[in-house]
Amino acid sequence: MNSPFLRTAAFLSLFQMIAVPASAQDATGTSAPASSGVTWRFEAGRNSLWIRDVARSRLGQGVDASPVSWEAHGAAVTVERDHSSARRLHRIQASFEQAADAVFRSPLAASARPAGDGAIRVAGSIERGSYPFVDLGVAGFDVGFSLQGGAEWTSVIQHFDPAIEVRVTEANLTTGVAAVARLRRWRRVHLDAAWVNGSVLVRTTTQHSAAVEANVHDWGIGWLTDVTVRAHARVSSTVAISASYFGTDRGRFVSHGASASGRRRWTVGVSYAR
Amino acid sequence: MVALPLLGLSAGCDAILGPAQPDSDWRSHESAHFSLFVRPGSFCEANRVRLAEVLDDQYATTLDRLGITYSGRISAFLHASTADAALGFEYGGLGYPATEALRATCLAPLGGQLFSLLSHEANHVIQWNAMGRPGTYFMSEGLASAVMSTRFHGLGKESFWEWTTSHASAIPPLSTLIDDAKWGGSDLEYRASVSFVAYLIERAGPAPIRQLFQVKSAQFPARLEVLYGRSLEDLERDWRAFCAARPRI
Repeated sequence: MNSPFLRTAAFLSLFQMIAVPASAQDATGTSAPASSGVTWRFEAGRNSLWIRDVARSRLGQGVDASPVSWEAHGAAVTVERDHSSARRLHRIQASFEQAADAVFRSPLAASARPAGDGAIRVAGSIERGSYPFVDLGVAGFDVGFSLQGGAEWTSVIQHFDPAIEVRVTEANLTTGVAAVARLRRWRRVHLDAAWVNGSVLVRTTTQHSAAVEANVHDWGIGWLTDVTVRAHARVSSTVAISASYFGTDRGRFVSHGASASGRRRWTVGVSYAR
Repeated sequence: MVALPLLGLSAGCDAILGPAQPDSDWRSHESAHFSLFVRPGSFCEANRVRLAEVLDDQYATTLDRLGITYSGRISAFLHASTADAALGFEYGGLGYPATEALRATCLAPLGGQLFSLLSHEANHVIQWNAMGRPGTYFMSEGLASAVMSTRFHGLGKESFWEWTTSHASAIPPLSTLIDDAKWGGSDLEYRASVSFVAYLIERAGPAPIRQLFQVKSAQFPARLEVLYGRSLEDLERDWRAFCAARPRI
């Protein structure tokens, strides 16, 4: 159970320094409109979450994570304000996710967890970048990068028999660098993608119903890898419908409380360009 | 060092720092408190009944000796070889309280070393879930073996107290052992922490241990003095004298 994570911490610290004040959080590549107007986008859908506790980390060899994962599923809502242009990317996003119907999934089977198990996440992020490579090889295919920053609050509740409740709350600040691409080859349909890697500053509070200490606070660090793919289909000069996939994998290194986690979100919605 | 973040950008943090997916080449066997996952045809599968018996006995012993309540089912993944476990050392295990799981190398012979290893990892799961996250490696590792049942083997508290006397000069001061920043996870540190924590239970029962379990390094000496009425240094002297006075096993 010894897990100092020193080499990992050194790596992430260095990464964060070199990564400029970047940031990442639910990074959504870019859906840059042709003009420089403001586009509002509302999407809703489903999300899934898995968490595996980590006993030890060895840089370059992955982490010693539990063979069992805690998984939950639920609803997700996102709102975006996109003020991108032909070469510039500027986006603000907020999201809300809820997950319940939890299970423990082992390599052989899944077993239901108590009804009270679940998670809530509220997040906001800002992204700025550019597309220096326009019409790269193919007309309408642009490649660029962005820097992202975000804040998020998450709460995960677990129950253990006979009547133990453990609530872990995280308040995180995230930074990241994104490689972004978009395909605007067709008049009505656009595709966007983003791949983000970054670091997380973590503040956790653990409440354990049977423990002597009511609230245990800790600081930690983490990493993230986000992938976003989105398709837009324009239905009028100002309105488009969209479908998005967002996936993120995370690592959290807190003394005696490390974990690896991942979320997958599938949403559809509508955007309105002013 | 500059290559590391560049590598991170080219492969992704997840590829470097993320966990691998567990494989599905397991068979499961149920006991009262455990789901044993063993490799088909392995030594552990052949001995699954005795291993389950040992673990169920330890489960009940831990609850009884610490006066705690917990009835969760633990998934124990027993790897067939050192290479299969891929822990980075020949023999060992890891506990995962949040997902009520453990995994360990499960090698012959069927005896005290294997029984105590599996019991130690199971105790991590039981103790974290029943008492909260530990504040120090010293308490986490010490308590996981300090309440070891000796029904199926002899590696209980008496053996650790005898070891303490025979290795007295090599054991670092407790002020070093309780400091998470100085904890290296050596066998010496493990054994010394087990011996001292078992001594505390012998001295005053489980109630103060439950109070001490979550205390972090910086607050540990002061809380210890409040709970036991003796300073860390005084308790260390008492412990060493207690161990020296024990009859040889």
